[in-house]
Amino acid sequence: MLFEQILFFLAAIAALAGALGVVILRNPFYSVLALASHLIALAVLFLLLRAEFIAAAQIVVYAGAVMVLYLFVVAYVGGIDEPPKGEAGAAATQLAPVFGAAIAIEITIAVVGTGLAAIDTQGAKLESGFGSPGQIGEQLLTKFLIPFEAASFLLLVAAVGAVVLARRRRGLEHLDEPGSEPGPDSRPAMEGHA
Amino acid sequence: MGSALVFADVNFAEGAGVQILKSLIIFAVVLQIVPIILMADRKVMGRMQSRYGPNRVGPYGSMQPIADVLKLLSKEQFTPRSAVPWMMALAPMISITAAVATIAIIPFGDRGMWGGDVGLYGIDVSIGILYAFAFGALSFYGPLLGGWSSGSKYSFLGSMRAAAQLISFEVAMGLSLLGVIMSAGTLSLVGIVDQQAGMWFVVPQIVGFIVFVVAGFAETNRVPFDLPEAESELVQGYLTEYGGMRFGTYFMAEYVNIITISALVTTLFLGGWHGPGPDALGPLWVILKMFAVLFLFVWVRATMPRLRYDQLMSLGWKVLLPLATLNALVTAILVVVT
Amino acid sequence: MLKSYLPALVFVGLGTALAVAFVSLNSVLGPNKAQGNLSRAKGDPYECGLPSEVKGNFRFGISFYLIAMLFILFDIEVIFLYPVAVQLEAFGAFALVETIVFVALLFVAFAFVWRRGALDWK
Repeated sequence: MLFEQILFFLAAIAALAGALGVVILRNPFYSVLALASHLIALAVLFLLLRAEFIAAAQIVVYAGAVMVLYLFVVAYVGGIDEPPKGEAGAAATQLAPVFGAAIAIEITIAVVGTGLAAIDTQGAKLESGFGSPGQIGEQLLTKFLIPFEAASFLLLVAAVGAVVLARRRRGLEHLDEPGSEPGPDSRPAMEGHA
Repeated sequence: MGSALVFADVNFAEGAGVQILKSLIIFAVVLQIVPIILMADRKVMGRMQSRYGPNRVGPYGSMQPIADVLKLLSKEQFTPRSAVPWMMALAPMISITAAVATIAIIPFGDRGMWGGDVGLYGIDVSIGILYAFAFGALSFYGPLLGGWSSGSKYSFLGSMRAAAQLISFEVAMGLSLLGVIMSAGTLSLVGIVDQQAGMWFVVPQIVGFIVFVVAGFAETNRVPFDLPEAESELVQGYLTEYGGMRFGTYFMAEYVNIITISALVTTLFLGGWHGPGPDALGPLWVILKMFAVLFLFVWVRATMPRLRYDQLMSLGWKVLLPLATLNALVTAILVVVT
Repeated sequence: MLKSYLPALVFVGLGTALAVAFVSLNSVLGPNKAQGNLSRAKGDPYECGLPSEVKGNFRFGISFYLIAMLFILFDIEVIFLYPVAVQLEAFGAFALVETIVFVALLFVAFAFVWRRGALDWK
């Protein structure tokens, strides 16, 4: 039990540090890495909550797939560490603290609103097999059938969107290509190998 | 629906002392396989190419891996001026840690096979194979960070290639196992082996088997899929700026991954510890089958030429992915109808 | 249940120990020269004879972005289908129909992506 608590605090600290790193670090590449470590720490927290499948899914989907996309986007944009420019950027900087404060107040109300009644208890009773893939599958096929099928439709829309957007960007890419960068184009390093 | 969760064995755990002890033993055993494979890789391939392979150090060259490691250890450690040194050190650590952590999932035998109430595996949990996928997803950061932090364009190109290749084949790999999971009705690897008492899954799941093995070759960057370190194009890919034992660490992680993949093939498709003879021989069967798969790795390496990058990508996306999906659908129909 | 994860922790610990040892051993056993005064050629990143022209950052093709996007989609598909596959036999025909609908929708997406040439590596 003590061991579990130590693990909880380690993971919680890592999660907070990762989250802070995302905001504080200037280099987008490091920000993405901080986000990845934050997500891994979250997976540990899920595991401590007995949500095994969610923990695995968290790592496979978020740390393993979404972060890949982020890293590729950073590589695509070039990892330029400049602050966002333009009026939209300036307005965002002005408004960010306001929204941040609003969210902080909301969360505080939500947490305090529960009266922290559950904090000294062991939490809800767990049925056997809780959080296992078998139980998740059962839930997906009964209680959450519509979200499950809607997810596949969402994925369809996302696939179409990605292709359409990439097409549009491809047109732009040809404009700023000549001589601007050391040999980056959409076919990396395939030349020279007949 | 509680009946489907009866594989409650996944909640079984020995005492903490036993768990730590058996982890140490499994770790030691698997680590011994690394130099054997390193050696076999060169010896067998040498024979296939009508050469001797290493035969100078020790009897029949058997001390060669030790000599190699000693050489690597005596190198000077330096990083290029354009590199990010701390991250260059961190990157191979991620690779090897993820590779070693995955070993825990390999089941060498069932509970009580060697007496006592001890499972001959590191862990057997309900997420089973997803545990391996989770650490596989993390090991992706090793080559990527290594290539990025080296500050060399060959490293960077190699790491991007490695990343794109890994993710392309991970999808096919995941889908190819759907058939096995549907047939077994569990993700637990021990449960999956138990289900193969009558027939190994390689027979009904031959398509899944082929897709999994091909994707496994690609995931471990083996020939013919060793494009991330294709020396004729990219010098050494993400390894270009690495030397000494850090280079060796990447290499060792790769070999540990190969061992894990062969163990997974054994477990998921080749019946795990099932084989003739008494139950106690189970772990030996696992290791024997692993070596058979490892021999296949070497054989393919000696036989196949390297693919071109666009061929590699279309193999992953246009051949393996549809094949694996179709296999899953057909299996789903067969499982429900019969 | 959490108890059965203890060996995983042990293995992560062993892996980390191995990693730390391997990565730092060279500085102990190998020749030790100050990292600061590498000669010009030695400190340069590798290049085939030409002067190195590496800049701080690189830019990369959009193909990688597309592949990563598709990877996310299919990864989520896999994650959704695994638990359903576990329950396939228990739920029978109902689960089969749901699985087929799920996969068919994604196959439409896959066919679209293929037709638009996003899978051709350029």
